[in-house]
Amino acid sequence: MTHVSFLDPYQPRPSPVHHLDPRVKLILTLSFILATTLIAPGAWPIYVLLLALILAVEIASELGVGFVWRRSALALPFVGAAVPIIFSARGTALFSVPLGPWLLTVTQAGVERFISILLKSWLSVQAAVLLASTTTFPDLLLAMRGVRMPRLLVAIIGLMWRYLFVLADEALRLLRARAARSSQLPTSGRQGGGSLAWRARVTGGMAGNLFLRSFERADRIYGAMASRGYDGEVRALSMSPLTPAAWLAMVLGLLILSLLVVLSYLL
Amino acid sequence: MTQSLSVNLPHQPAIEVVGLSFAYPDGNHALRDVSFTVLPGEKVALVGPNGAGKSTLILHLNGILRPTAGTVRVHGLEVQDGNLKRVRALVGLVFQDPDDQLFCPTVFDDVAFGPLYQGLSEDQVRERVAEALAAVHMSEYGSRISHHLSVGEKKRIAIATVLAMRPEILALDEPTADLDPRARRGLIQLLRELPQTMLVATHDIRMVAELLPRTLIMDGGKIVADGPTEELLNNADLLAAHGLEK
Repeated sequence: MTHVSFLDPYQPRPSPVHHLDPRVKLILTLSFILATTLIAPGAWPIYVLLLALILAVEIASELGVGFVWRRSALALPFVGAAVPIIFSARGTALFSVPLGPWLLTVTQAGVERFISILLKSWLSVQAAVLLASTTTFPDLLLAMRGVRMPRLLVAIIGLMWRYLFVLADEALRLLRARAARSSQLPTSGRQGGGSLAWRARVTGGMAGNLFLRSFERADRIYGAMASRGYDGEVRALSMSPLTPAAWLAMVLGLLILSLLVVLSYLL
Repeated sequence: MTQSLSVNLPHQPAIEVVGLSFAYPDGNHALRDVSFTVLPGEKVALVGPNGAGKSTLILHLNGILRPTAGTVRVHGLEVQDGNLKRVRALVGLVFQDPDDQLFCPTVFDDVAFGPLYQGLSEDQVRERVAEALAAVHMSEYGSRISHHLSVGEKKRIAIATVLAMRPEILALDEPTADLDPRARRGLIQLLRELPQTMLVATHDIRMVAELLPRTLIMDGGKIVADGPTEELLNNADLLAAHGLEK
């Protein structure tokens, strides 16, 4: 069987972070990202404290700091979108760069803000990587339901995750079938694979094929759901209440984060 | 599992199909005037070449597809809008591709799905899940993620998802397709243990001979033979005429 499992970011470890209630993890991760976003630009000591906080969790999770940093680096190129702020922010000019007919002035406030955005993105992505690596997806879905996300939305995310793998497996089989028939004769003197237009047509055909298969599968899945009584309403078993320890972890986490945000403006 | 047979009405056939015809929206006449009766507790095979209408027929048993003409009754209940929920509680449909049947994140969620929609209490749902997983010998699998199971394991869980609803009738589409010999053997053993009335659409003639005493042969949307399995399988001309091999 062809099988795709590299899409699943969960890394099983016996750490306390893995064992923490997924609802608490989801709330704390979102709060961490919110707090990081709210912190004043240029309040460097607070950034160090936030980094220390996330590093502590990374070490406690037994995933290793290197692992989380490698994964979080993937999101860094998107910070490129913030580059213009170096030139557009008003403030003390540091130096100017002539670019064709324009003169780009780098300001101190601009640089400060850019570095703040860079750090904020990096910290936020680390928190997200931690959440996804220490919580199984079914647990994440439970957590989303636990924090009162609309049930239909959670059900759709769940179906998407379930069939993403099935679809990826199907795509893999199609690619393999194409590869198996993409040969080249030594005597033809022409390069195998045909022209770009021809290859584009093959790829388009494969995408269409995949779409049709998904469409038919959706029909069959709905049949299977209806067979077992699905009536359009999303139902689920209720969840056990949070333990006192989980409450404590959540309240403590939220307090620390609020404190850091307030401090960043006082400094 | 024996209590699931307790609501049997003594003189009602489990499945009663009369003059059933069905055409898909594209005009393909998949079923033409199909009639047959299955008594409670009977184990019936549904064989025939691809495109004979086996899967289409099975999808009529709980109203996923509706007849163009004719009627389907399950334990005396006509399969129609007002009765759908009760019919679906009586008929457990197991689809050919377990990836269609297992649409929840975990095995537990999938097996709990049917009981949850039957309106049972949470304790009852948990009890049903434990009972159904035990019936397919997969009690340890509750927290597993469906995608990571083997095909044989998925097929067993797919059967558990309908057993949890305590159906009177099991309708299975190609239960042994895609299985290696050991998984196939295990599945046949499992089907032998289940007490429900059974209608099994299959190409696996050896399983039919072993497990299902009565056989319906379909071809071109019609039932062309209905009788004891042993008799039909010994009729070489009949089998050859409908592309079947013993």
